Amino acid sequence: MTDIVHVENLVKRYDDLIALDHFNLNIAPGEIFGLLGPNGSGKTTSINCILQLLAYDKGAIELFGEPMTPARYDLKRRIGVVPQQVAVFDELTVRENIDYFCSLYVNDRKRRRALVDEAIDFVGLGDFTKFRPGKLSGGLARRLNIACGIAHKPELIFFDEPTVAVDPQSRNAILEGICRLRGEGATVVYTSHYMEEVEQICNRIMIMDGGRVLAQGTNDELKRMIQMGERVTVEVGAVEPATVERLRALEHVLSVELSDGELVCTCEASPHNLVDILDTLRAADVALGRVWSEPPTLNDVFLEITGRELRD
Amino acid sequence: MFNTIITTAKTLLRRPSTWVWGAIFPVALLTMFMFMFANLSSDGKIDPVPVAVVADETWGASSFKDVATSLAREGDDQLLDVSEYEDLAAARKALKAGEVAGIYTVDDAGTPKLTLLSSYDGSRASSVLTDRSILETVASSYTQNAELMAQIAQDDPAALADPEAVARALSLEGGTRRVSLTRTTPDAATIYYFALFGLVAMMSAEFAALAVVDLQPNLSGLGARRCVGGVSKTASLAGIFVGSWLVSFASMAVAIGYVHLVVGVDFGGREGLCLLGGAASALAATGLGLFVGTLPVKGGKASKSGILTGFATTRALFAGLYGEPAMALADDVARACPVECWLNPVKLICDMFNRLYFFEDLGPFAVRAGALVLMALVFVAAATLIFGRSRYEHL
Repeated sequence: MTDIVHVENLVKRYDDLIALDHFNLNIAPGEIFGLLGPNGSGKTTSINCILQLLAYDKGAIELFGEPMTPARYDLKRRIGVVPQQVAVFDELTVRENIDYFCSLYVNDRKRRRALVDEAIDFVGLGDFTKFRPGKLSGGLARRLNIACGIAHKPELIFFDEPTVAVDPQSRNAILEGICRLRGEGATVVYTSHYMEEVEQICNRIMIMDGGRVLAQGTNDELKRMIQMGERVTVEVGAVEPATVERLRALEHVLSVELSDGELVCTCEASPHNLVDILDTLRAADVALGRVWSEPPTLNDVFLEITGRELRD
Repeated sequence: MFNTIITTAKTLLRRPSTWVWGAIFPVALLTMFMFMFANLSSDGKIDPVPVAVVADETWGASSFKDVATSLAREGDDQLLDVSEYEDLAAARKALKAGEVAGIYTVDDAGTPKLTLLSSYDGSRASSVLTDRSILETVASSYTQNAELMAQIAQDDPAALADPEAVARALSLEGGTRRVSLTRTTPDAATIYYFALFGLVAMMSAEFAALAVVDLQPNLSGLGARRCVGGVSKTASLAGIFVGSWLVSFASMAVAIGYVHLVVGVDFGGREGLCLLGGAASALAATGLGLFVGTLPVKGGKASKSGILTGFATTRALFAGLYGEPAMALADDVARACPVECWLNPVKLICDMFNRLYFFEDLGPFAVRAGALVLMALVFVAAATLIFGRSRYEHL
């Protein structure tokens, strides 16, 4: 089946800075594709290039199997965009805003009215149709932002951090909505800094940094790519520094951190991690409380792949 | 595109700044002008000119006294306001005090003499010079007519027996034909109102400029979102142009309506054409706004708004909006560089309305309206070219 998005060797430079360095991307129909990366990694730049908002230096972009150019309005009509910032008219009401953005894709007034009604229901803004954006709470404004991007029922939707500054209830509603859109046949490209969101809804994930793809695959595939196999956490009494050093010296232990009576050991995949750690602690007469083991999270994957140093 | 037109008009009309610049600003300025020029207008009439006369025996025996008395008779055509003084010293005192504009005396031969002050208040130059001109004309006309009668008495004394022949000789109609140069009575204030129409139109250029900023991805998130939509840049730009023009035209209609209904300028049945002129003015202004809006200048809305305000106010100077010295400057510039009248939209709009108001022939009005439409087309073409080719290195 033809990929919905196909990007090959995309290069984008800002003077001396390479924002995208031979960036490649393939997204199959029906996927929710997560695009992860630290600030300045090139996520938004890549999306802006795909949408032809930004000029790029090199590379090829195909959408729906056809070359994408700035004048391909036929392709643009099949795309929906939910930008990071709430980008709507402050002077128009909720309904007028959704209707306007829908009109950029759908000419027929009657059909548009039905689509607008559907979008309003979809994001749950039925009680606010006559409100202007300035009168909406942050969460409601975000929902309006989404409604404006999806009202025309696009086949491909770009969500650029749609849940920033949104309360947990609204966030949950947004994520459920995205899954529903996929259920209706849409392909979704989703960028976020919230790893648990990406882990929850994306079936394929790409981690990028410095304009390059560092890793991509399913959630499980990504977790298998890193050294860490599990994280063992033990509630402990007093622990001598020598004991911590002995734990660090264990064969599969990658790191040990002790704080507030909690000992966290990250380990490579091994069937004996828990036993080895507990034996070491007992041998040092450390008082033990609760003990649990967790598989690595996407956050672990992200930090291991992109590094732990702070970014802008 | 239709929805873009409606949305543009709707968003502009819901912005307080649109009401400030599109309605409050013109009405406030026109009201100010109305009071400022109240003494200039008066429906083409002038106030009687106060003049002193020395009521001595010579004056009493002079036929010039009869002329002055008849011109001072109360009524719509009263030209003089005569005050009699016993002697020249009292009359001079009144002249120096500014109570009268001049002094009429009559010599032994019955010839009128006019005494004026050698200097006057520069701030009242216009009215002082007008008053002096009237007094001089009255005295010199009397002298010329008296000489004419003396000549007739010498050449053909019998002719003086025929009152009709005397009246014909004294009348201007004998040797001249009365021609009206303008279709309405010239009113010194109207030219300022028309210059203000030019300024109002150019201030409304901002509507298009601000609307087009909301279409540019590098200037607003809204612009980025609109540019990834399924409507071409040209169609979006056209929608913004038409929507902004509607609002700009509404602003012009408010100004024209106010001048007609409140200020009381009578367009003599050409109100429809006046609105047509307003539409052409709004078209040129919107074109300019679109062009400036698409210019790749730093600073976004603020700098574009600044450019347009600066442009409108400086162009208004060369249209003579800021009073008599500015009007004189505008006339000098027009004489020295006639092409400026066609390139300065404020001046062009002012001239267009002047020609509609004063000229019987509609040709000059149509030519100027056409020039404004052409100006709009040039601006729109340039804006389309700039915006259509723009791709962004940074967002």
